[in-house]
Amino acid sequence: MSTLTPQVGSQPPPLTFSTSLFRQISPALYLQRHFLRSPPTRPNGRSPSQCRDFTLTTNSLSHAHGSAVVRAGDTAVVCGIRGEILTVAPGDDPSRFESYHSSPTSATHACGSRGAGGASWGGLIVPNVELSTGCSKKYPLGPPGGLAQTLSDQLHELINVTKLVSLDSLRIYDGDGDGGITSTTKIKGYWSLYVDVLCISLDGNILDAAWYAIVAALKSSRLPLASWNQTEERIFCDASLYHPISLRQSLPFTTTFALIPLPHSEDNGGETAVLLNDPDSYEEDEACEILTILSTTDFDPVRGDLSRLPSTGLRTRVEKIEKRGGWKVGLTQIESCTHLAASKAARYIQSLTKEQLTPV
Amino acid sequence: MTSSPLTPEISLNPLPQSDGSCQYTCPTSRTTILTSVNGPLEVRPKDELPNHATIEVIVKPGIGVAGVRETRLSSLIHSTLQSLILTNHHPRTLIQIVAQIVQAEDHTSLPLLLTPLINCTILSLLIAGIPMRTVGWSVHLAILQGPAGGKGIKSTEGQVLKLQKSGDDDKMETDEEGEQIVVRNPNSEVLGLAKSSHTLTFSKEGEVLLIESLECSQGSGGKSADGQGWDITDFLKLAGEGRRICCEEGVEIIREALADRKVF
Repeated sequence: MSTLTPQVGSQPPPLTFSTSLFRQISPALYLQRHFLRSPPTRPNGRSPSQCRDFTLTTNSLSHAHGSAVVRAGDTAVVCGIRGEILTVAPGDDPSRFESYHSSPTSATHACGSRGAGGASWGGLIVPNVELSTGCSKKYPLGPPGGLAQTLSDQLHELINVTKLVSLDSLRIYDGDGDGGITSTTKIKGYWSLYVDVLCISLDGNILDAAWYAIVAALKSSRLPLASWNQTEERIFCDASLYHPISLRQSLPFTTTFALIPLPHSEDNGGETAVLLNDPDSYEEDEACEILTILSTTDFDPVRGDLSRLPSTGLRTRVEKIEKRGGWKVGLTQIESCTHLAASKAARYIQSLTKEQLTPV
Repeated sequence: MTSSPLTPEISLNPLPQSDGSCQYTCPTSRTTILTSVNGPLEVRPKDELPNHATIEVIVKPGIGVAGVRETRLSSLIHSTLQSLILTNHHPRTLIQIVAQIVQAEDHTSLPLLLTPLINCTILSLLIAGIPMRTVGWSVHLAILQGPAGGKGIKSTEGQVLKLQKSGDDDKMETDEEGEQIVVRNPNSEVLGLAKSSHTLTFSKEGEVLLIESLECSQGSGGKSADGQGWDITDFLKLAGEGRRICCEEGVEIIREALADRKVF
C-alpha cells in the first residue's frame, strides 16, 4: 500500500494504475484521495453533505390500492399497498388493533404474539422488503438474507414509531361508515395494509428510498368504501366510492449518513473520518458507521422556498436516531446531521406535494 | 452481588465448556441473557477474511424460532462489536458469540432486549480473552413526560427512579411540556408509559458506539401523532447523562464483576 502514496512535488509514483483499476483494488485509498481535494468531492461528484436527486411517480401500478416508484441515483424501489379486509369475529377483542404499541401488560403480549416480523401490534400494516430481484450482485435469489430481514423490521418499527397512518381510517363500521361512532362494539372489521417494497436496483441507502416510497404510496392510496351489510352479515366494498387513508399532517422522513474512516496520514489535517450524506453502495461498503435520523420539519411546501433553506432555520423534531458500528461520530456531529436531515425532509415534502398537485 | 437496586446480577462462566460465558440479569425488568463466546475458531472458507477475524453473532429467542427481530438484534450487536474487537489480531479465524434470551418481559421489544444483550456480550468477551480495543457499556433510558406519568411510576417503582431531571434547571423547551422524568433501565410497564426510549452505548473513553433512540408514545396514529418527537438539544443533554452513566457506573460494574479474575 505504501508504494501507492504519491510523493508531493517530487518524481511520479513508481507504480501507476488506471483510475478504474485503482477504484477496484483499493477502495479506501481511492475514497481518501477524493476527500483530500479541496473542496472535498466524492467519486460520484457530490460534496459530502449533498444527497442525490430523486424522482417520484405515484399510482403507476393499476392493481394495487396505492403505489409509488422512487428513484434516487441508481437506487430504485417500487412500493405497492394492498388492502385486505380483516373481519372481527364476535369473540375477538378489537382493542388489540387500536394502538400502535399494544399494551405491554396484556396477556397476548406476554406470551409473545409473534406475528410476521415479530409484530407486537395486531399487524394492520405489514411491510415486507424484497431484495432478491437481481437488484445487486450482492443479493442472490433465494430466501431473504440478513439485510432484507433487518430492513423489513426497521420499516415495521418506523411505521410504529411514526404512527403514520390514522388507525381510525382503517376501521370498518357497522352502518354506512359515517365515522362518527367511536364505540369499538360497532367495529366490524379493519383494513389490513400489506406494504410490499420491491427493490429494482440497489445502489446504497435503501432505507431512505424505501421509507419515502412507503409514505408516498400510503399518501396516494385509495381504499374502496367498505361497510357492514346487516342482512348478509358480511362486509361489502363499494365498487365506485373510494376514500384516502388519512396520514399525519407532518410527515417524518429518514436521512442516512455513512462515516468513512480515512487511513491515518499527516496530510489530512487531523481529520480521521468523513461523514457522507446519502451514501451509494460503493461508499457503504467502505463505511464503518451508519447514522439514520428520522425527523419531521415545519417546512411549508406551498409558501416555503426550497432554494433559501439553509438560511431559514427549520424547526425540526427528531423521532428516531439510530447509530451503529464504529466510534467516530460524536454527539456534535449528530446535531449538525439533524439540520441536514431537516432540509432533506423539506425536499421530500416539496416533491411529494408537487406529485399530488399534478393532475393524473 | 445485589448491592444497589441498579446493579445487574452478573454470573461469570456459567457454561464451563465455552471459552467465555456470562449470565446477566437486568435489575429492574429481570431480563436474563446468557451468552457464550468461542474463539478464535476455524472459520468456514465462505466467511474467511484475509486480514481480519470473522465475528458471528447468533441471537436465540426465548420463545419460538429466530425471526426477523433476532436477525436485527444480532446485526446491531455485530456492528457494535466490530468496532470493539481487535479483529486484525486473529486473521482468518472465527469469533462466535451465541446469545440466548433466557427470560424477558416482552420477547418482541427491541429496546428492552438490546441493553442486556450488549452488556452480557461484552462481559463474556472479556472472560473469553478476546482482544478488544476498549470496553463499552450500554444503558437504557426512558423519558416520561408530564406529571401524570411520573406519579404512577413513583408509587410503584420508587427506588428505580434514580435519575431525575426536573424542568426548572433546563431551558425553555422543556418548560412548556412540564417536567421530564428519566427512568433508567425501565421495565416493560414503565416503557409502556414512556414518551421515548433511548438505548445508548458508550465506550470507556466516552465514544458513541450505538444509539437506538425512538419515540414510543401511545396513540392511534394519524393527526394525533403530529408534533411528537423531541428536540435535538434535549437529546444531546440526555446523551451526556447516558455517557456519564456508561463511563462511570458501567465501567465500575465491569471492574467489580471481573475483580477477582485478573482480566484487567
